[in-house]
Amino acid sequence: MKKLFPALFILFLMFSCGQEQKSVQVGDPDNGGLTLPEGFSALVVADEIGRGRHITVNNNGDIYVSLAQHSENKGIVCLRDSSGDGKADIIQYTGQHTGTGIKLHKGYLYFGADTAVVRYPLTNGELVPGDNWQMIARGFPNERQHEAKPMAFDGKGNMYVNVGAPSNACMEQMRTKGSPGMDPCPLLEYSGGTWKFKDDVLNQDQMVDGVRYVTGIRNGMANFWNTAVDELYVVQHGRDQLDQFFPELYDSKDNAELPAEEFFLATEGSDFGWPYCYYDHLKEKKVLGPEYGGDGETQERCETKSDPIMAFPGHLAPNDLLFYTGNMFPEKYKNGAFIAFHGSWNRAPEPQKGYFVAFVPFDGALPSGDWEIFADGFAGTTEITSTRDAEYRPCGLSQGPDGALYVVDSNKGKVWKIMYSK
Amino acid sequence: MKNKLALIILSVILLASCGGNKQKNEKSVLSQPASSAVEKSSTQTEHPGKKVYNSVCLVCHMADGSGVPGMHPPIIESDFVNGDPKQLIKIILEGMSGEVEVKGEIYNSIMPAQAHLSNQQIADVLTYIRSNFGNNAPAVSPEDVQQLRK
Repeated sequence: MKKLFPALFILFLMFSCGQEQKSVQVGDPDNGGLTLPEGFSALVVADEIGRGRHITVNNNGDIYVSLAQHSENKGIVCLRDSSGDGKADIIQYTGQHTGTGIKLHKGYLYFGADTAVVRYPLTNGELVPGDNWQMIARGFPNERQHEAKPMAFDGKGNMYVNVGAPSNACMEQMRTKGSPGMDPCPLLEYSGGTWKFKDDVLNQDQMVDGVRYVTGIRNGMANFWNTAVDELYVVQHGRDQLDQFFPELYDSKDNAELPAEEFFLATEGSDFGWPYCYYDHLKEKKVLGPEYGGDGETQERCETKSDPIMAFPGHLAPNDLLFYTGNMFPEKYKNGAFIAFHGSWNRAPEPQKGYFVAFVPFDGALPSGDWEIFADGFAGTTEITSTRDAEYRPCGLSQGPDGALYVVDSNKGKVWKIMYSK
Repeated sequence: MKNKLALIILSVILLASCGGNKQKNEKSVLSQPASSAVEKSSTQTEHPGKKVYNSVCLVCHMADGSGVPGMHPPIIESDFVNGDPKQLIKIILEGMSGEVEVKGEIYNSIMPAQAHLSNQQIADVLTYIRSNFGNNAPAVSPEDVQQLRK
């Protein structure tokens, strides 16, 4: 019996690498509650595994999910499907950290704890990583907002880490009406951008060893290295509460739409303008923020800040980004971007929005068409007044070795596998 | 002026419709006394604390008081809201940050200080939330607030 297991496992591995897998795995009858484009189906890989954040899938199909809070006193969930039906039948918890970033790289499981990036060693064939983690990058500010530390790898020895600004618009007094914006904003020295590190050097300190790669990003926790063009891309969480702090300039309807959530081509040295500027997707320009004397029209210094390559409605909360390189999905998806929109809270009292996975087609470095909703139905309802009305909220994305798209939810910890068959 | 009026009317309509949803959603989970408190709230639309709640608190704690998962704690049927008013007043005057656990869920964010509100406004809004959202606790007076203002 003991000898049989490795043999079966190898068989399974071979099987999962083969083309036949598509015919073996079928979507759930209700696609796990999701609505998808024609030809796509989804199955629920796992449910109620904890407050999931991001997700990564190994070449052998093993899945790792980061947790925002300890579950069973652990912060990483390891999932394995040993029967080949796509559903996880082995679920184990490990890891001493909680956080968001999680990626397999160079035989390690890199983990973005909120104040550090660490890595756990993986042993070939074993699902659960070892306990003896190593410190890769530390010294990040210990914050209560925008603290997620997802990382991207360029395959050339570098790691890019989001360092969100612990602030709304760099006001002197945090989120307080009438408080002016600090000019220059001191937070930009250590946050509000993406920092570059070596991917394989231990104990790097953000301020000593890290390099500020791009700046002016309020919180860019959706980050990804697009290997098709060898560039970093980031989607930003735009600022909140325009109407609350400046009711003479904005009403609640304006605030629900503004500012845009911005999709950046983050070439080295770019400055995207936070906190001084925001992008108005209706006027199609970057304008000066009201904390810095803006009136919703004036551009001033914002004229020279880098524009987004695409803009989405306000507060949708882009929590993860992925450029698709698989062969399972139709041609139009190749090298295009999937974005998990966690869904809004700051559109209140207007209805909330988001709670879907969007797709942006690409041709080379730039979008080749408008964005569209790819996967919807996570919320389980179309009328969302309060954020809690949404049953599930997509938060993390990963591509499986067979080209399927995995999505993890942050409310209950549901994991979907989205597949395509002709 | 016309816009503002339209907005107010719209907010009232929205809130009213939220109230309806809330009752529907909560019936299954709330105990009897709590749901009668919720019903009471829908008839008391003129509470002065409601205006403060809508302009200052609603953005994070939501129209139905359910908060935002992982970020902003709910104020529905809350031991904390029904408890010592001094704690509540201090949070409004000084803000708070860090992890709080409410009904088994952890919330970790920041609440900015709202000391710019008058003693009367703070008393009103606390009295309002302590007698709505499934809560049932005594009113808070402006004098209570003044005592804690530094």
